[in-house]
Amino acid sequence: MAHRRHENYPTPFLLVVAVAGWLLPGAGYFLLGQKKRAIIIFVTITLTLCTGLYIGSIGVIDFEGPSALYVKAAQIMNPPIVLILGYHTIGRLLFNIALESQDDLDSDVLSDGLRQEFRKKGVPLGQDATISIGQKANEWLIHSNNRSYIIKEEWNKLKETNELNVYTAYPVHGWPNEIGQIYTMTSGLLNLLCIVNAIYLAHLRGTESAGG
Amino acid sequence: MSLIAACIMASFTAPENIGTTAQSMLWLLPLATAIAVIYKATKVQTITADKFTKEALVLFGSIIVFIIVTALALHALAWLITE
Repeated sequence: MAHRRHENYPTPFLLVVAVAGWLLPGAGYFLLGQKKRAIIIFVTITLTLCTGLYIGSIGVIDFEGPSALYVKAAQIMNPPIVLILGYHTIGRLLFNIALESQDDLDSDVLSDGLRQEFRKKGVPLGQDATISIGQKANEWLIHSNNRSYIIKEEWNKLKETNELNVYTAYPVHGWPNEIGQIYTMTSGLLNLLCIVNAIYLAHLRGTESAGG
Repeated sequence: MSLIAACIMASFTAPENIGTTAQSMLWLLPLATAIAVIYKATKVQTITADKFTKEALVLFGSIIVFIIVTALALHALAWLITE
């Protein structure tokens, strides 16, 4: 069956449908005038993504972490909000502490000196605060008052010396991490399915059968 | 930011406490529902409430049945190997 492209459905329209579908789940269908389909897809994908983030916290979106590449690739197919979350979960620099605190970090309990360093920066640690070794070398994780901080020993080019930088952290492990990742990956892959299908529908509308 | 908004935002910054229990398997139900709904939303020609619901329910049931059958088969295999 031969097909001929309509002039009122130019190729860039397919691109617009794809980008709209990625920016907002179901928006591709909305542009094609299929509002019911668009609403169903928007609600379902958004709920799936939010459920994943609720179960595993925003820490499941970890583009710099040790997660497998296919996890990150699937998650990135979600709306761009995951990029914002990914930026935050990488960790924002809060402050730095004295390099002498490194000896305290290697101990199992939080020393008074380390507590004082945090208090000076306006982040008092609770009595139930815990410290553990991070995933990489020269990294430590402090958990206090339902918040987590990661301390990294890094080279400061300007001062030409090592320093201990404290970043925000959203650590998640075990079952919540796995379930959260599965949910966020699935919502991303379902969004990809919808984008591809919306492009296909737009393509079908842009063609008409000729001679038959 | 209102207190309610702050509480909602905060609930997304710490993971839920989910143990490796049999009940945790129930988390597959919302996921299977989402897959069935989205797949049918892309496949059904015209969306009407009764037809769409019926098709999505059939697919949801198929997924769950397949998972249960697979789980039983794997359980039987594990039993055969270990016994």
